Amino acid sequence: MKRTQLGEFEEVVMLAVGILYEEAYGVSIKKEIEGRMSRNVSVGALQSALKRLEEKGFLKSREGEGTAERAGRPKKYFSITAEGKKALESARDMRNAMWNDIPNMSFDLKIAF
Amino acid sequence: MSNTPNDLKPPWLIMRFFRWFCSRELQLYVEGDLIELYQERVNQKGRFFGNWKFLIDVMLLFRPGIIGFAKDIYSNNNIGMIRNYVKVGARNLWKDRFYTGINLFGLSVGLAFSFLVLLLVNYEFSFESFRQDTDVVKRLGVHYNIGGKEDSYVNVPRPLAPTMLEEFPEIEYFTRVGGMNGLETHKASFEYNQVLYTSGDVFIVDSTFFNVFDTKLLEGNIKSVLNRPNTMVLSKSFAETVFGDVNPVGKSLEVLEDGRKFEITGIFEDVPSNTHLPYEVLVSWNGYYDEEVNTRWFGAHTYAYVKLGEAYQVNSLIEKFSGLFDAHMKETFDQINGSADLIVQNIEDIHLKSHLTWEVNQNGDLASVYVLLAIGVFLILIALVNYLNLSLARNSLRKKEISVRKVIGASRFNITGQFLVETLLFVTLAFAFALLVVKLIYTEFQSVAGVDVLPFSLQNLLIFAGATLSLGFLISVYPSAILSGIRLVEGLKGRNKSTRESNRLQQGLVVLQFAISTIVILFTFVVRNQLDYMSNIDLGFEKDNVVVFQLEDSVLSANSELIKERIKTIAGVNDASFSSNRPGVNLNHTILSVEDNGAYNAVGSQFMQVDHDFAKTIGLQILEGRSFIKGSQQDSEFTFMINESAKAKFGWNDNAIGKKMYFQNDEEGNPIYMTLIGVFKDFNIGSLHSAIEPISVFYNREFGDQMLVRLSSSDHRMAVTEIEGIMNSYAPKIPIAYDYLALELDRQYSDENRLSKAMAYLSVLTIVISILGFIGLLSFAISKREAEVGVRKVLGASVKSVVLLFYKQILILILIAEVIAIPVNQVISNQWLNGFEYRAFPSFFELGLILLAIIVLSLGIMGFQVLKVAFMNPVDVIKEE
Repeated sequence: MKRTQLGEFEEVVMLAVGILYEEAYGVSIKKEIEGRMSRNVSVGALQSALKRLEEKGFLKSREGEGTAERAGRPKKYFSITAEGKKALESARDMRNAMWNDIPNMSFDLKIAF
Repeated sequence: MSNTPNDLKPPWLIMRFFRWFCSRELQLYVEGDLIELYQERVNQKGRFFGNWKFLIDVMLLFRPGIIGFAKDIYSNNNIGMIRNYVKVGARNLWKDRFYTGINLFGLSVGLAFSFLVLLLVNYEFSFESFRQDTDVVKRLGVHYNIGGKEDSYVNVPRPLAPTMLEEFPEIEYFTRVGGMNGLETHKASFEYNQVLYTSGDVFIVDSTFFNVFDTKLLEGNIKSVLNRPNTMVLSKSFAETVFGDVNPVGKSLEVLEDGRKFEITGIFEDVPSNTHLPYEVLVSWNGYYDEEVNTRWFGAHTYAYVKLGEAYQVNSLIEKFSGLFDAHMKETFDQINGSADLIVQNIEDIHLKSHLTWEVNQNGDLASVYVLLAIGVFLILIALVNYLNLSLARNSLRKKEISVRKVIGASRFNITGQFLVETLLFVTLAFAFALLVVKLIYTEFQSVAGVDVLPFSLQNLLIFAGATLSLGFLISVYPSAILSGIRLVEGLKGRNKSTRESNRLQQGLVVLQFAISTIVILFTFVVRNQLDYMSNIDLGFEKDNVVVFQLEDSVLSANSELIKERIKTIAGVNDASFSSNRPGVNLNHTILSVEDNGAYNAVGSQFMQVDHDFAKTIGLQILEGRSFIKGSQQDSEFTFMINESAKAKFGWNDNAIGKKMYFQNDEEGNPIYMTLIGVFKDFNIGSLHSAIEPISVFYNREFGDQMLVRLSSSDHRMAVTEIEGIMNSYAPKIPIAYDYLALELDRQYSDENRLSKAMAYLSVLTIVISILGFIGLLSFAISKREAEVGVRKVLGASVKSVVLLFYKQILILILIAEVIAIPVNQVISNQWLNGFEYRAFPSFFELGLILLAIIVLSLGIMGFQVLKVAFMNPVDVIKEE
């Protein structure tokens, strides 16, 4: 069985693809992430993450139209597969479970010291 | 901005790079993304920003997930092939582990030692390289011709450098450097808070010292640091030993020897060890010497360094010197029938090339460094020849493999590549082992080489690794060229046509190797022989059992006569004597006007002042006349003695006793005549590199700062302890410095001793490595001829005849090697021995014995393999056919 674990950046990329829905391709994903996380995303990091996710079967892609500002190069649109959705959900569930298990005490650090 | 898309193409070079590495499936899409981003950025922030970001993006795309070298065009088989080469190479090495082991041992040990030797050589050549402007900093020296006696000194009259600064515009700065407690020791002891500290080199320097030498001042201002009298600066480490963490600036140290106090005005960075002029303490010249002394033009009392504006101005200094000589020095020098020339030395040349009188420290010897360098190179060479030889020998076995590869479609290029990979594999392995060996013997090597620090930098290591690899590259060329060129059919059939040619080559290489190691061994023996000769040569006096005490302290000197008389009463002390100089150290020169048929000629001579016990103490023989009479004022004022060389130089052949000379005048200006009372047998008191010099000996009743004590040959410890006790009772604070005369004399040859020791190790190594190579080759030859030997034995060959069969071949090769080695060694040895005034070449009988020993040793070691094949049972080999 393939590992369904998602890395932090991978998860962000998947979520961005989900948000953009029909419009998710390289540049738009990059902008989405940069806009939300106020950090720089290099084309290299993004592309290799996308490639990895596609190989894992979490994303699927289709070829889109070429536009003038891309000098006629086609876009590659991504969308989340069912398996990808499952992986996202399990990542979220795991986090929620972990959040729930934190006793309230540990947030009251001021009292303890 | 309204650029049309076409104008906004990203830089094509970067784009090409991207297209080159990017995997085909991603390329178009990513390229689209890149262009889109690029255009947006250019429109927002301009072209430069866009280009810059584009470059960064492409660089960051260069990562495993994205790279995919155009798989669909070229096959990616190259890596697989190289993997195959490595695998086959490793198997081959393992298959012939015996040869591999021999080779690996030889090569790694050879590499390790040559690396160390080259490090050492590099260190010797690195002197002064840490300074910034070595090309314009020069040391001055003088060449005196006084009464026909010529000498070159590295020190100059004190007024010379300041006068040159005034008169020669080429000179920007000068500094004089005078040794504290004399040029010979330039060390001193300091007292601070009742504790004694003995420093390294102490010099008295001009305030411009730090303008000439670019040593960094950590404390103090370069403009003012040594301006005032009685100030000094310390090196960082000496300041830390004395003061610890306290800032020493403003504090004072007292010099123990003369009680003067100096205020510390600065701290300078420690000077690296690779300099001819190490300094730990620098004292201000200002006010240190009497003014009168500073204006004396005769003599040579201080080192002097100048900094020129441009390096080429050296010549004009030398040209203009005669003018300066006429203006300032001529008057003085005319009186003594003398002339002087200026010497200007590059400071980076001093360590290896300057061997003048009164060098700061004993300098290195260029010839020794070259000898070491040659041996270092030889070691690698011999080890590489081993490898080359064995791979040539093994080649015949691999012809089938190569032919099959070729049939399948390997090109010549592929085959060459395969051998290259194999060789590199082996060389890398050897390199790793070599590093291990270096680590193991590093400290041992340092102590043999006699250097305190052998800087070991990453850079050296990288150069070494690079050199090793390129050597590996080089030695893979020949075998691979031969093998890749074999004809298919012959190779497959197993016919060897080129055997003879490659055999010749192998034999040639073996001869070369053996000749080199023989030369190294013979030369080592010549060096050893010369050193033995020098330590046993008749110096004209008896150096054994004589201990030299230094009485530099004024308290000790003042009571010297009393101390001497007390020491003479100690049991185990045969004699004691004072002398102004001790044997083995350069003597001072003076000019004497000697009698010659009624007239007086000026003649140069070395001189020393001794007391009446001197001849007895060191066992000098008096050939004519008598020695000084104890306490005689007449003798101390009006008589002198000379050695045979002086007698010859003065031209006093017969009836020398009673001849007169003078060298100073009384108050009215009349010469004080002195009469010769005795002639010593020649004694060599300086270095054996030079001939015996004329020496004049004067009687000194009162004072001496060297005391020579002759002990009886029994245990010396008691006597020495008692002597120390007596001295300490007069001067309790002073550490007593003493040494054996014989050791001091030997110290002059420390360079040669170091060389011979290092060579002894290395020569053993070279012969071991070449014998190893020989063994490998021999056992290989034997394995090829096993069947032949089997048939011979079946037909009735005896053990003896089989042994002879193999020995004959080896012997011829060894003999050729030796015949080559003998004359080469002769030439090299003569070259080296020319540096000595007294030399001894080992007799041909001795050299012959060594050659014989080498032959017997080699044959003996190889004998095992020959005997094994000679005693084998023919059935074992013949049945395999």
